[in-house]
Amino acid sequence: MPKKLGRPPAFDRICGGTVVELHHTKRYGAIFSRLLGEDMEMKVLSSYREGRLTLFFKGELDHHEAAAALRRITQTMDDYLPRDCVVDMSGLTFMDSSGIALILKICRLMAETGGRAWVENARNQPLKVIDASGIERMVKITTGVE
Amino acid sequence: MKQLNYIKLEFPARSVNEGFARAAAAAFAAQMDPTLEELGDIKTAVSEAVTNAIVHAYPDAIGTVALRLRILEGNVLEITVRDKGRGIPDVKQAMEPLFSTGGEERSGMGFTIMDSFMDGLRVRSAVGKGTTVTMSKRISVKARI
Repeated sequence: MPKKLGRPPAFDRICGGTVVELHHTKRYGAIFSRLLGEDMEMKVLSSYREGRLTLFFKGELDHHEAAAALRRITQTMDDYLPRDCVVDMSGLTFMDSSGIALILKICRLMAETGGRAWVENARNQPLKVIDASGIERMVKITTGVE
Repeated sequence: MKQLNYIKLEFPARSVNEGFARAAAAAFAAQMDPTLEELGDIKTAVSEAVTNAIVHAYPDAIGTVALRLRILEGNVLEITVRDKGRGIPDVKQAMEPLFSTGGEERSGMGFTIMDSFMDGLRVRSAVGKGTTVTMSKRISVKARI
């Protein structure tokens, strides 16, 4: 059973005096993200059908998450050897330039085996980062609708 | 410009702290009543600057990264990310799009994105002494009904 903590002074100062009841757990990041109403943790879900591997990115993609995500994606690609790889960003709430590097890496890995990769359902902040980076000149990007 | 409020944070240059830095900046900026897009811009810029410090500043040790946010008169948010690491030999070159010394895991787009998402960006660095990135953004003022 999670252990209840008392008033958390650090979070109290950051949140301007809001008293939050925390439960003792290793995943303070997940708890703090719920304070802000966002899912910070990055998840990569995948589905494979008829030669097409779809990677569903959910949560926030930064440098810390990108490294682990690339390892999982590389293993999944090795398992399925897809003809096409789609990065679906409909569940992605945040991405910085580490996500751009990850997309380019996925495209390179697919190109090495003669396959194709592209991005679907980019929206909001991740789409803004994609636009600022200019990678649409190298990678096909489709946008999502709210 | 007159300072109205500020926070200062210091944390180890560990990648796991990138998300915390973004969340802390967003929580502090919330008092300025930014739009969702403005909040996203702030989180993005902080993420880029903090990640740069974590990836590049301390190749042989875990140093510290200092994050300061100030609210200035005129509804301006100023963000400063400072490290006392190895410094940048050529700041102009480092700020060129796609330039990176971080290997394949880096896109070299960090400064480009900071510049794109913020109103002002200034980078000061000295080899062996560290780097200070200062950014500013004017937050829109909503009409009160």
